[in-house]
Amino acid sequence: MDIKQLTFSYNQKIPFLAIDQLMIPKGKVTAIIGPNGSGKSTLLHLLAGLLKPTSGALLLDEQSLYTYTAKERAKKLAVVHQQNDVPMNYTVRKLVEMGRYPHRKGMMRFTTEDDRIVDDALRVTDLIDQQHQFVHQLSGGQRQRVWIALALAQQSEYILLDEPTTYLDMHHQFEILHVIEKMNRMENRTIVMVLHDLNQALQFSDEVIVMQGGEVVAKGNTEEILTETLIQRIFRIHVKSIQDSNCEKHFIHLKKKV
Amino acid sequence: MKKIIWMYSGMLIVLIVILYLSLTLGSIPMTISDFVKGIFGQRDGQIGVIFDLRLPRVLIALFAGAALGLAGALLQAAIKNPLADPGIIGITTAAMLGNIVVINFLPHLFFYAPIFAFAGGIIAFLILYIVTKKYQMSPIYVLLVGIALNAIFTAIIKVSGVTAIHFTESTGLSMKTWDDANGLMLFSGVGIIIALFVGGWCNVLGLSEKTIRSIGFPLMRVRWVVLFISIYLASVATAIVGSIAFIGLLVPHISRLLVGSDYRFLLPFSALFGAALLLVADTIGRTIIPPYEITASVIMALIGGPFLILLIRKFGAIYGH
Repeated sequence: MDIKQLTFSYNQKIPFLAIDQLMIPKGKVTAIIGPNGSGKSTLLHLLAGLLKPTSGALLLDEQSLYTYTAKERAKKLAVVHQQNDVPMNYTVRKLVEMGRYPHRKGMMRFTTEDDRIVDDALRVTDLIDQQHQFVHQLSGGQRQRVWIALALAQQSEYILLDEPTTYLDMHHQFEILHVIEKMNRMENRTIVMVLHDLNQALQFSDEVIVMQGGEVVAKGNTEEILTETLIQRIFRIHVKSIQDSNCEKHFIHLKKKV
Repeated sequence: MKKIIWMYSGMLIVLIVILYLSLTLGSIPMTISDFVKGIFGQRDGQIGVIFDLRLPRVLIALFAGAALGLAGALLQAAIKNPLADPGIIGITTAAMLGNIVVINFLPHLFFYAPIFAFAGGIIAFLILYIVTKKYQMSPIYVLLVGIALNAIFTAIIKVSGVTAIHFTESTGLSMKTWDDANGLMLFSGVGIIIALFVGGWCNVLGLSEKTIRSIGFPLMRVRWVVLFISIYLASVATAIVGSIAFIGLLVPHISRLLVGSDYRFLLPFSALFGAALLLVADTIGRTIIPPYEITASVIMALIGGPFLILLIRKFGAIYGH
């Protein structure tokens, strides 16, 4: 995906976001990080086509995002949001089946191909056993997996996730991140996710986009870009970077004030 | 699934029983054999009266009840609000305004009053569409604009009453002729059949907006189609029987408790239940203290109010959101 000279405001007067040039590399996991209000979610919503920019271009596979029909766009791009309404009468399987909508004609019968794709999505997210339960009866972690399975069923090349680990305990956070990693490594999907946790970004993303004040202040390979100085400047906290036994980098938050 | 089949069977049986009672009870008693003979043309004396007056009334109750029940269910799907009733968003008052226009200014077109009532409903719909289009006809905006519209139309109706323009409300089901019944059956029949096919769409409308957009579903288009059908059904019913509160609100609620929230099953059931309910209300209204009649809307209000409170007390948890 390509962004050129994009600006966006929530109301007419105050510009909120301004990005000169940005490219989301295919086949990689890209994390968007930054402090609250820096425009992370706004950027994700723009990439998802949910918001329209005030000016500038957003290209998906060389074509402007806004020239796709809703279904065409849905076939290329799936979005998983933080919190989602769950109507009561949906079973896991029925909800995941919704992901097949862009590929089907109206509300016609499911083909065997559709069923197979839904089965695959349920298998990758480890929901085969729960597929006939009602979604509202599942735990928060399981529910988040359902939304990811829905996005998987769309069979889209790009999957965007808005803070997928918020509201989840540590176990479920890693569970979700491993599923996301699987989607990228095994099915070669391009992942863009907004993350709060820097260490999760280090562990699970190849590239990172750092935002502040509605602008991209740094981008590139996660491990190279995220340095102690950058974090201190952006988040105004002290961190120390350490390497674990696998030579992977982690940040430890230090208590002293900036 | 088994439960749903049981519920449908139960409702059909209830409907048949009520149908039987409504046809045979009344100021003129009639037996089933008389009724059957009457269908085949043998309508002497009192049986003829029943065929002229009671049968159209029963049919009107059935179709209007079904239309109103469906209108309520569809509206609740479109604006994602279980408290929605076509009256709240001004449809009923708009339809009545249409009626008033015809009666006062175009009395020679009185036969076409239902069309004017429907036109009133459509005008209300158009205003809703134009004003809320910017927000994708999002539930809360539709509700708010609808409430405002309702206030405006009610005020207009009141003003016309004050300025001595004659205002007759066609409330209730008494004094209805075969013309009324035929018109209602035709117009609402079409709407009812179409409504039964949009169950799948209604289910999707229950998801969060972001999810719906993410899968490329034409959200606004489906919203206004469902809303349109709801308004059509409510207007047509109101044109013939006037404003009857609570059916649009209660019927979908109770139906949900009985057959669940899957609209593919909820919609047909709401139609059946609405028909049965209005027929019961009307039949009680005309047989409980003969020779006086209590209009169906009063009966509905008497039953509906307490019932609603009971529902909330027992099942409030379901609507926790």
